[in-house]
Amino acid sequence: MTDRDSRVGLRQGIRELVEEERLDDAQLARLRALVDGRPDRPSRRRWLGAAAALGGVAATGYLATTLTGRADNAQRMAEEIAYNHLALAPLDFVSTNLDSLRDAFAVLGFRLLDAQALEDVPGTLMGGRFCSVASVPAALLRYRSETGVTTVYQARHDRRLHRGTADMDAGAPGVLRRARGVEVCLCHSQGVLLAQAYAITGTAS
Amino acid sequence: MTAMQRLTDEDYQRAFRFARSLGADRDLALDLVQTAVMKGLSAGRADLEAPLAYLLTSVRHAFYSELRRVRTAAWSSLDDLEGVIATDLQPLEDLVVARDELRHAWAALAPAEREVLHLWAVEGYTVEEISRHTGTPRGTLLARLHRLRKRLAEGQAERISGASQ
Repeated sequence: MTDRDSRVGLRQGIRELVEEERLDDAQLARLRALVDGRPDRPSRRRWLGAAAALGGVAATGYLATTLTGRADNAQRMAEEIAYNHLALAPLDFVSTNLDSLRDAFAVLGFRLLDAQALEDVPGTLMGGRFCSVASVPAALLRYRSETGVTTVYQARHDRRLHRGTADMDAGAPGVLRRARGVEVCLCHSQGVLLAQAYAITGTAS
Repeated sequence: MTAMQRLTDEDYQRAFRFARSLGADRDLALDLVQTAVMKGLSAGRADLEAPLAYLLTSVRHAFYSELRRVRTAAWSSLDDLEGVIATDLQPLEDLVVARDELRHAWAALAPAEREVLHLWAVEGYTVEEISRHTGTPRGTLLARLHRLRKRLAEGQAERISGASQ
């Protein structure tokens, strides 16, 4: 690059810098689901309204703790996971075979755990899609049973970003959090974050 | 369709970029946008005429309200403003900078400084619009921008000087 090429008008230079910042697809999907879910799912209005009403309080606490590093990180992850659970976004891979999904998600840099064996996740595996948990790329696996949908999230465990989750290998019970009508169980095992989300009522979400 | 449902993916990106320019890390920026959307969805916000403007304003308020809890959001010292007679943003329009230097300078700016530059460069706001949006008197804003321009223009020398200290 020549010196001439490396110089730019201030306005254009700032635009270039700022436009490097982008929400990823999972984050955009979460925002769309947040907006679109409201009129389509009247039953959620109660918690959505309550969430909005509590927004100031919750956001204040959350944002302050984010800035100061003292957040209830487990609750924060549960909120994010609940969004994705409720969004029911299209699957990137449709398969009932865990091994084939392991191949599909190998790019994430870890081997998917068998959540059904580890956590007794009910139902039949439907497939998976890429998402993220606390900004760490993750796989979302969706299971369907007679009682509803369960989603399982797996990502490379990051001690800092995923702090507050239970160490399954040390025998700790899963950390349970509730968000948006969804119960989320958070733990990690073998270097993999494992989060399970299901409707609190046990009905299909 | 509610007002918030008119928001496009690009609107979300614009709000996210604005939050990043203010100084929020990626997680916080996303949370600021989500919080703004939630507020917009709440009762009484269904008739918003300009959901994007609401989103940007809401992101701004949420960011500064929290930043104030941690530290004061401030411009750099204005002690050396003597001789400032800027009347518009033309000096900024004319400024040409090296991309590398701009990247360094951008990271070193205070949130309030990045905000004004973002509103000017990315959102295309006029001085009056920035003044209204940020609640800063026009004269004060121009004086600050004059000094900011001076710092950006001298960025390379300042950085070299700073590195040698």
